[in-house]
Amino acid sequence: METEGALPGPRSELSRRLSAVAARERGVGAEQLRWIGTDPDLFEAFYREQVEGLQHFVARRVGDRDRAADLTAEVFLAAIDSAHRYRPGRGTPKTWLYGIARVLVANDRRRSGRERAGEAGGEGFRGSSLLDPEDAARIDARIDAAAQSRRLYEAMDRLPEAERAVLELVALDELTVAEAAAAVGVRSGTARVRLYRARRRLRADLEAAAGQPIPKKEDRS
Amino acid sequence: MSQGGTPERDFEQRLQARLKAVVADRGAAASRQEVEGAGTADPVWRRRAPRFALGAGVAAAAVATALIVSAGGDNPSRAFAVEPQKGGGVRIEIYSLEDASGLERALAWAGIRSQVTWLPTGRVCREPHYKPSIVHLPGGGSLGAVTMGGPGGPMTIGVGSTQRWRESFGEHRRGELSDDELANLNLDPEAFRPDQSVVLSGAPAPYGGDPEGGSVAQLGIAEGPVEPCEPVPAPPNGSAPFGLPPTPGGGPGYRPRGDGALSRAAIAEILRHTAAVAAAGPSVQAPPAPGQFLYTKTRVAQLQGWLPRGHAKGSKANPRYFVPTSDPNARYALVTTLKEVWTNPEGRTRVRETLGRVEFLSDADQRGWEAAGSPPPWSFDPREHDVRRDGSGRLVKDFASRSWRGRRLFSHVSQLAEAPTEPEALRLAIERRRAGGSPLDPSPASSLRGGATVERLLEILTEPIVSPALRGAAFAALAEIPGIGFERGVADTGGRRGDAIAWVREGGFGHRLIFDPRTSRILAKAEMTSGAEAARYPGVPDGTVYRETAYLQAGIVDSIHEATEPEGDPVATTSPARPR
Repeated sequence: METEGALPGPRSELSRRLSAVAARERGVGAEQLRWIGTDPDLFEAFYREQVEGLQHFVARRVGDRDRAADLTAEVFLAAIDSAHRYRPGRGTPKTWLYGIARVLVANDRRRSGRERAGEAGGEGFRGSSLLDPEDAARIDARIDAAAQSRRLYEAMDRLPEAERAVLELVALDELTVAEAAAAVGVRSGTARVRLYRARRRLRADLEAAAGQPIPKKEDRS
Repeated sequence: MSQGGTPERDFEQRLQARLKAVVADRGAAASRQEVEGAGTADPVWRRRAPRFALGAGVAAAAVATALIVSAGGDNPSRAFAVEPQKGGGVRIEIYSLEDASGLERALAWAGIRSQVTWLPTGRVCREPHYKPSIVHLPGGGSLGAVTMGGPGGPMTIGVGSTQRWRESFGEHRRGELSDDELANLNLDPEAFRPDQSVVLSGAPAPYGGDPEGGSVAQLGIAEGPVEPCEPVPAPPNGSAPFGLPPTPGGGPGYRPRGDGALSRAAIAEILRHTAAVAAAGPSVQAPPAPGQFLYTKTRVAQLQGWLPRGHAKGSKANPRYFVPTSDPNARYALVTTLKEVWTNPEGRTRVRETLGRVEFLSDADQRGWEAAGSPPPWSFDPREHDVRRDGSGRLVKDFASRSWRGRRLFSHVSQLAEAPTEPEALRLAIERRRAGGSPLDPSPASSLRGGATVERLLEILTEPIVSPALRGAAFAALAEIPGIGFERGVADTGGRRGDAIAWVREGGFGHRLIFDPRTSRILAKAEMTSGAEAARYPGVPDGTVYRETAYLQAGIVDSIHEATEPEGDPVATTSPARPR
């Protein structure tokens, strides 16, 4: 039996539209995030808000243009897939997205090139298939700019996982300690301790590699 | 990355379009009944058929057991059956509009006080017979009035906790709950205040040519005592809200079902005739060449909320008085904007919006707004750098933008050029259905798929650059879709008159497309609140125009200043908005 006027689910079309308008104005809030997997307007607002930051996130970890494009698409596809499981208590939309990105980038690093080549991508397309020559130069530039970050990232690979995760999110992705804590699922205090330890270890590591001390003051530029 | 260099956005724009399509598919699939052809089947995202469904969640399993014994399988009338639903609560399936008092008892056992009235065809309860109210659900959201209708068949009511209901919705999406185990609407006894109750009335209604082939039901939330339902003839279409010129088929209580006097066959015949008119129309304009612009002029009327007494959103220095809001204190106004857009072949646009009328629901609201200094809607804040006043003192917002389709803005012209011009093939292409898959008959306009198809067909009709053959095919395809209503002599909010296609889409929004029957030209497209939508926004009558776009002009021009410019318009020369 067809329904005319009955609720399609827990959410009305008017509220859907109003929240899409609000999302364009104020960003996709934690309350709205769970709908981005089924609501194109909300998704667009979320995408526009996050795509630039996410591409930098990926470029800091991946030195290959096609893989970066693939991963960017995969992260959003994974976000679309799991948005309905998002709970506002577990962090902001940004930390949630970066949490997904961390996992996918880590998985990607474990896969061999051949494995990757054999995959069609989540929804039957690969992000890299959307690249054209104009994009290539621009994305390469972004990847080159992130080379230093990637070297740091590689050095960070030698840190214990728990410490590396926090440092990475704070130092590379400029999340606050509280956000980073939420993204990896620990308390702020714990994250702070891990961050301190990670920095100390990394400094020792880099100093050993460079053969000279590294200035204490952090350069965030 | 994107320092204003527009060509740079390409990958991001393409990815956005691609991902958005994925989301749109999932959104549609989430409530799609039919299984797609083998290539696209995705069982996880299948959802039950939209049904004439009422759901309610019950608090205690013990209650459910009692119901089964006393009202369920043993019920000899089989007017309804009550069964426990997975995860708690009960589900009430209503087979016929009989035994109202039995249903009241069943709901009472489940923890919901109610008044149920089944009426003869064409009758409704005299309103008001109770004070309408809204149930605020735990965890946000609310439940107000819901109007349901459609062909005959079981109607399902469930009763259970809101949390359980929300979880079950997700479980269903993941394929862990079958269609029959999920209700579309949930009543949560815990969410009802002691003075709140459910008022349910229904009557047989015409469907598919049978005067009693379907049914229509209203579910409302009452606060305090409920007077008995006094059956009265269903009112004709009401008058328009907000002091707008009366529009036949619009206004409080209006549901765009169309003119009941016209049979489906008659409506199809009219639309096929319009299709022939459209197909013989003037030839298509080419997209703008370099140096040219596509110019469109529309008048958009949008329902917006206003929070009086300083509750406006935004900073103190920059308050935003008109905010989309469901705040119970919100006053609603219909805000009219004249929108002109010049688009160059690269997809860059100059947009000029001129603020038109602001019309409130009541004089008191209007006075309250005036007392607050008649603040303009937020998008017309004079302190914004791109907002000016034109020679007539009207607020004008003039800015540069980009069509989200980016440089491929006009590529859809070629896509449309490739679209089938045979009506059924066009519809199947829109629905991405292949022969040999599931049945290929059109879904009713009230269903999710049917509604989506109708919207896509209307998009074709409202495209500024589209071939007559394709417009004809779109009208002809509409003719075959069940559930399309038709109205003659309908006016838009600006007073232009034409004939209209009207239907209610699942989810409760009413839609209306007004066109000139002599030329097939589209005059306006409107959506109006309906049923549950109206009830969610206290003070907004059912049938209120939520958004209407009137299509005034479209054509190719050689300059972004070409078109009607207000006298002394300072905007065009100082605007940062020039597409190059």
